[in-house]
Amino acid sequence: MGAGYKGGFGHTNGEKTHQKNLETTKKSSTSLVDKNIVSEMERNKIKFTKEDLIFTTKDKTGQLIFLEKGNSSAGLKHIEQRHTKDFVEKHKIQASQVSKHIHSVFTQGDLEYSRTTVKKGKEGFERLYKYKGKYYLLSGVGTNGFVVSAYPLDDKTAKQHIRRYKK
Amino acid sequence: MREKIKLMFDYLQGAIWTSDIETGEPLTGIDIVDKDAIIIKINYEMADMYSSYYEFDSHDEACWFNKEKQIEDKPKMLELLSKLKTRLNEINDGSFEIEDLITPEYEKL
Repeated sequence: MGAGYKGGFGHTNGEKTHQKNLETTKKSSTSLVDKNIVSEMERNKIKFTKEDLIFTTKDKTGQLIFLEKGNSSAGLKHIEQRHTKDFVEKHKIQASQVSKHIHSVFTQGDLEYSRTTVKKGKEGFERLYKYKGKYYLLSGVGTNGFVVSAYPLDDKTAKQHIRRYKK
Repeated sequence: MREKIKLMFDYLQGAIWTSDIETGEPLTGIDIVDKDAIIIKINYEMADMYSSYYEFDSHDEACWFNKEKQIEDKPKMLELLSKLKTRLNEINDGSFEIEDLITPEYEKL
């Protein structure tokens, strides 16, 4: 999180293109930052810090999502500090693989529901994904695709959320 | 086996893990907790306060967390936390235990 590009919306189409780009990226390097998505973010004037990007992706609905290194309140550092135990214990994900796993969840997982919440005039979003039979909740501030947090939910809790929020 | 009720914050989540941020209703699956009006009210207030520290496109960052306000609100938040735990203990019929992860976070402030 830092100086970058201001404003804009990250929800754009082009999922097929993204998947193709992702495969190319995987073949050529281990980077999870898709240059084409970064260019798109720049074009759309989305605020981000290029050198802090952990990954950029689009989910199956075309929603642009990006994770930055972050700090104790948001981003990868926040997720690792607060939720690694849940990833390891609930979903048996190795601690060192959390960011790669989250990338897979968002890229390949099925969206169960998406909702926006406005708190004191500030918009946030929450999206629940199912990936390989397990559930993950993503939360973000605004609508630009910046990941504040992501964590696993057990089946019982996830189904409660789905009953309540799925339209 | 006793259920565990975790108290923890995240953006749009907490204090009871998990809850409906818009109503304050806990989603623990334990009826005496999820339907308790006093808990719902306190829970809503705590989550609302915590999520208000997050700002979008602010201070030249995509996401900015207002740490100063969190510190300023610390006494109020800890008072609410105390009330929440007191109420949880009052209604506890032995079916759950509390894991408080909020106190350690606020002790560091």
